Amino acid sequence: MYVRLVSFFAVLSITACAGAVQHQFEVPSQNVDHVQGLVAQAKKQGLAKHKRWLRLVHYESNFWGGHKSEADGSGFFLDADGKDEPARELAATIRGFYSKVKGDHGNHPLCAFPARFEWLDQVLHFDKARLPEVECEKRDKFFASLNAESVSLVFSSYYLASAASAFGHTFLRINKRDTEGEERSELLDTGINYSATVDTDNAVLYAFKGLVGLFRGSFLQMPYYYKVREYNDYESRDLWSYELNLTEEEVRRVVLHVWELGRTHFDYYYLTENCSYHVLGLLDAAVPRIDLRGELGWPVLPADTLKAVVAHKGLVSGLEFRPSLRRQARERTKSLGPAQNAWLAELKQTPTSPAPAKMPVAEVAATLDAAIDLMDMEHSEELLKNKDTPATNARFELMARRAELGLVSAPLKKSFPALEAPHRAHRSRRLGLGSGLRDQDPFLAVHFRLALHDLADETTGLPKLSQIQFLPTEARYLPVTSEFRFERFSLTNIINLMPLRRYERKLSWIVDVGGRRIRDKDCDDCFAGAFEFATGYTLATKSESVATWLMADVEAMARPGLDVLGPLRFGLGARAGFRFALHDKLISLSQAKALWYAKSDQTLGFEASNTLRWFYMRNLALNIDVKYRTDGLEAGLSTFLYY
Amino acid sequence: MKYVLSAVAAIAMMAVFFPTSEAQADGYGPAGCGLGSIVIGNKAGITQLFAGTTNGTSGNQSFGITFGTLNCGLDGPTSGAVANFVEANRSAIAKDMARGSGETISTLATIAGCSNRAAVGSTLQKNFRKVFSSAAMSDKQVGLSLLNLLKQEKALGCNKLS
Repeated sequence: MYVRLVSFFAVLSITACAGAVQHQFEVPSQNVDHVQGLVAQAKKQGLAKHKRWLRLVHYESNFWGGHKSEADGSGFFLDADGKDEPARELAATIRGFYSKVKGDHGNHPLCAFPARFEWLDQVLHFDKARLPEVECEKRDKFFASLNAESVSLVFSSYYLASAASAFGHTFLRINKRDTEGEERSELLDTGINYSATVDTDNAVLYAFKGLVGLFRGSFLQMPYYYKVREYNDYESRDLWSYELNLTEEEVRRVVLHVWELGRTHFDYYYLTENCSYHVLGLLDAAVPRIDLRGELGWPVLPADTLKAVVAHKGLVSGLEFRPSLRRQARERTKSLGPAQNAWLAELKQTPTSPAPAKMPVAEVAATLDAAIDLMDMEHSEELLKNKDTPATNARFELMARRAELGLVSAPLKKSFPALEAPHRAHRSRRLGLGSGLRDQDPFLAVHFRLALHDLADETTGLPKLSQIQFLPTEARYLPVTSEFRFERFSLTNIINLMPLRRYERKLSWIVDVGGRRIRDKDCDDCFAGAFEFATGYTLATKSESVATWLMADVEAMARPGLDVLGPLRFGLGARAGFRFALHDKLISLSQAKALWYAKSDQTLGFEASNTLRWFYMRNLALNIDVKYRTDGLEAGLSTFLYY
Repeated sequence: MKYVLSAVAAIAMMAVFFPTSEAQADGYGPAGCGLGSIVIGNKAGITQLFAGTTNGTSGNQSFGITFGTLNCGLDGPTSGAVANFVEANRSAIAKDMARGSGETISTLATIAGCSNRAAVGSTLQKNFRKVFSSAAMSDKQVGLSLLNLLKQEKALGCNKLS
């Protein structure tokens, strides 16, 4: 899902690949007894079962009480059976540290596994005089380049334009220590990203491989500015940074362990062992006092990892916000006057359009500044690819004109939308129980949803006008006939409302893939597969608390014998909606749709519904539904628990 | 059960959102540090795939945490660092130069070791046309062009250019 498909950083990586770690260790004869002593001591102390060791080698206990490391690269293990045998790996690691150096120093365990060394040295007190001398040139260069002072967990916000990023993404930022006489620049910090390397262009294969772990995930480092350009600018996503309150010692250990992880890869599972999971695994390995992964449920959503970090008292020392390009452009257009707006409209058509004669130079500059940001927002891809297109040339013209004015723009006002901080969102899974009446017949209803949010849910920490649902399901029990049946089910259901604004003219859209019960002339009371796609426009107030939309709608339903033509029925029509947030926690959502079915017994379908949801407690809501369909009226009352 | 559920769900999800897009773009190679050089196509405005230029998927050992390759490294403040930064941030730098201020300018002043930081923004603004001769310049050309300017403008006191 939210895999960064990217091996964005591959550009910066790879060629320096060293060979595999030596698997055959030759311990100099004068040290053999010493090493054996250490191994015995480690055994006596039970170090192989110690939390620190298990975390450093990423062992998870398995069903049979044994252990298996989640790491899948052989370069991560010094014993051939190290993946399954913590004790053998531990012994091999100790032997490895004392082994003779062969070939490239960088592959000697002392260079390759600094975090293991540090911990084992603390408990076993290695005899430094007996250890071989190694020069870990690459490693030391890496540490120097990070120059780590602190660590932040960064969340790149929900991005509905791509399934891979719809739930957001997390990665680490290693913050550089201030250098004397230099101003600190966040852009020069280092991003540590865990992502899958995707090797297929086939959508179904992509989904399949991602679910069963056939992609390879690895840790990559890159300057933070690549991340800022990618997320803030190119994809217009906000970045939220949670600065972690780690000791100097712990920060250093994070860095040591990052270096170790660079040697290996993990099989990538979208829903569980994904970007967010392994980033927390890295932190847990380096910081034994915390247990972030212990807080995770299933599936692992990026925002859940933020909640886990925040839930650890005192672990987060600061929260920073870096606005997307879209927000920056909004901030710049917000303050423009009527004359400026009129000219800006002309500039978008003709970048050479002269400024209104009496406009003060500061206003001319502000208008050009806004025009450039709008260009960036609308043509991010052309810009990125550095194409010679009308848009890039127009942008160039605007920038050149702006530069000629010679006025220096003041920095954009810093915003901090505290209520949108992603860790504050309601929990991801939802369970609901309720009852209702359909015509005169009572029913009991069970609702379930694996993730994440719908338009009637509380919006704190989430985009107000987006709905991202994964496996929403409703089943009903009918006491009169003692029947149990599925009412509706979606594999995925996404609503992306993009309100029209003066400078934003984007289509809103809805996608729903799943199935639901139909009761009409084509089929009375049967469950049919359904696919629906709608697109149109949304209008909203500035605060987005009131929004309304109108869309063209197509629908395909499938069920044996559904239509005179066969198992498929196609509908064409329109749908509309109205959402009114009386309060963050009290939301009314009305929707209606009308469809015309081609060559069907049921030629017209109509449906209207209203939902009123009240979040009377954290993660608890009361839900009232009234629905009218061609076949009748129903009403229900439910309680939703977000967990 | 979990996996079955998730499999079904995600396949549907991907099928909807991933019109099979090209995973290998034509003529795509390690052309400097520019962001554009590491981005792959975007069909229909829906899929956006970034991908690496190298054989990251085929090697049997993958060492991600490396640096200093393809001139895009994190090596200290050298002429390489300035050029790399400019190439990767090209679009944002151009904008900040036009405005005479911004985060990329102050960062550039840091990397280039400019003693007269306050003057960097306005100097770059004045010389916008000198650095950018057209919209179609390559990232590399922009990097070199900006580096040359910083060298020429002695008043800025940028001492980490070579």
